[in-house]
Amino acid sequence: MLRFIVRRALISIPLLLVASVLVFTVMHLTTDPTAGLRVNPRISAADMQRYRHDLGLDKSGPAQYFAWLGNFVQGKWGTSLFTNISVSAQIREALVNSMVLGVTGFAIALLLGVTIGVIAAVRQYSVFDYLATSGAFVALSIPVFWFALILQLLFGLYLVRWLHLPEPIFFTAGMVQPGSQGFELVDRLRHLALPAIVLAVQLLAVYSRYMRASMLEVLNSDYLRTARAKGLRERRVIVHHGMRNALIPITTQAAIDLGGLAGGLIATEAIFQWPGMGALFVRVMGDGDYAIALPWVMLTMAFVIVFNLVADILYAVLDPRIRYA
Amino acid sequence: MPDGTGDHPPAMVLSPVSTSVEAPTSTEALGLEEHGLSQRTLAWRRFRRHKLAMASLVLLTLIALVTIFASVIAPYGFSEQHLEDTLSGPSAKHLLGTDTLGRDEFSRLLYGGRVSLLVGLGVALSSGVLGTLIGAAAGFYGGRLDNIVMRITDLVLAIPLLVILIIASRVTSGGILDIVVVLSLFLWTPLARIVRGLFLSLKEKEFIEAARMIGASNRRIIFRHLVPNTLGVIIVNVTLTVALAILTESLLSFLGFGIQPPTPSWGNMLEDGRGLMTLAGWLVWFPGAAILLTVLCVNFLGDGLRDALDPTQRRVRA
Repeated sequence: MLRFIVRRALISIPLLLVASVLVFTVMHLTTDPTAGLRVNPRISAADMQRYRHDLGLDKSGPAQYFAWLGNFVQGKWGTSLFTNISVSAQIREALVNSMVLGVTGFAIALLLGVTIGVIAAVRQYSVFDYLATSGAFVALSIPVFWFALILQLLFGLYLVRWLHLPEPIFFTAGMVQPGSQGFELVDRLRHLALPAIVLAVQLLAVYSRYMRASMLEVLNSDYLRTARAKGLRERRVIVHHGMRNALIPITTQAAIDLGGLAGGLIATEAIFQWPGMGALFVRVMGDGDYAIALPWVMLTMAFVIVFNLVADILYAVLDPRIRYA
Repeated sequence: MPDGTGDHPPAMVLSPVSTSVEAPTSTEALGLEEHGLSQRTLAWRRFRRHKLAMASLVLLTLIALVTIFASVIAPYGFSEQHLEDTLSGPSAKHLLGTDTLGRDEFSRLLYGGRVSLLVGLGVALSSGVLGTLIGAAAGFYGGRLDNIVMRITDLVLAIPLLVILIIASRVTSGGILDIVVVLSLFLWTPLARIVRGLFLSLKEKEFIEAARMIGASNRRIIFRHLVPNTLGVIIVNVTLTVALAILTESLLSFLGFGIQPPTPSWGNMLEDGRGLMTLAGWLVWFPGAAILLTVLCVNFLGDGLRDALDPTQRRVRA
């Protein structure tokens, strides 16, 4: 097992390096941070030269890459190309915001998804089952960003108008009410609700389908018949013998999804103006600010890789039939 | 996978019914109970039984026809301005209203549908061919080639799809062809993994041994014996890729990294309407509903095809 983990970790390093070369190349070929300055007649050629030297743009491509890589590995992520704000501070703040949103939506989806999946499987072909299945189909077919816009319309406009509310139940933009001071939990939650619902609905659809499928498989297994034959109560059969085993596949899927949350929710954060990783990425890609984009991609990838590994390990731990060599 | 080569669980999260964790092994036992009918007839019978899929097929055909003949059906051109009617709601003159530039929303919806369907089909076909060929080669020949292919798929899986696409969009100019190429370049990986897995198990089967015995070439074994046996799975996955591609294109265009105006796409129409949605709800409701309807139909179609073509897959009926 340890050998497996070490080997997998070692494989990831070239993966990250290759990705960094690719992203670096694309970003450097398509962006010139001095383009805006060059059209300014008040900036002298000497200043321009000095500025390009400061940014390292006078060196060859590979030299720039290795200089960047060296600094990156040492944790010197520098400052944004266009402002002097530190990259690590910006990413850290965005990551925290994304995690707040991501973990909330994820937790809601997991709880509801498991519950819905189990009920749908136990009452297969019931009205509940059909509703859950149709709901999942719609949730998987709906464009996420459109769903977000519709929620904004519903809560920000229609409900306010119909119910004559002084202000929306859930706010449609930002993390806190502008001008508010300190930490107010209720205010935070009212801002968090809509983006978290958008994320939860997407994950919920997947989890409920997953859970239903694995629960159905378990329900048809021999050991469940044995449990019933022993005279156990139905509730105990379902929860203790059935659910515990049916949870294994969804655990690994959930671990993988958790890793993906580090990258934030690109569309959702953009629409709800949630200052997380997704919104940050869209902004820096619009500007071409590779000083932020590169560490962003590296960090996001690292999270995905690590959590994939965690998923594999979890799988082996939970299911003794799985052995890694 | 217990071999620890870095396999991930199925990447096609978007296939709503593909909830089984392991790939099906083969489709060879197709319809043994029902004698005397060709495989195709049997598959068609099974497909017809799926009412939602049949209805979706009809509806999709309709959507396709309407968008193909957009220039005939649309009352106005997609960039034609009616400045006397800017931002007017749905009416007899403008069925779905107009936007700030006075362009007819209904006409734009039809032309935008062309983009969505073209991207969906184009990406599904090209990534389907790519994924099948690469997955087949990796699974059949194994060794170094397999290793390289698997590392590439690892790489693609480790970066969120949208991130890759946004980065890639910096090198493209935002035309339909660009979007199709970029999406195809990254969407072949899930299928390649599935085909590789199927090939790995199928190539050990007796009928392949038999084919080898009578001197069939590798090429013949791959295209005559192995590919037909995986075709059901491939078709189902390609269908679901249509849905994924349509959704992804609309999202990219919405974020401004996809199809560039003035060409309308459902995604960039939503982006246009977004800022005005409190005044002009129709600019947001209709393009989004069009995407939802199309993608829903494609997903149902995929579900029906799975039932019809891939009966060995553990069925979780909708």
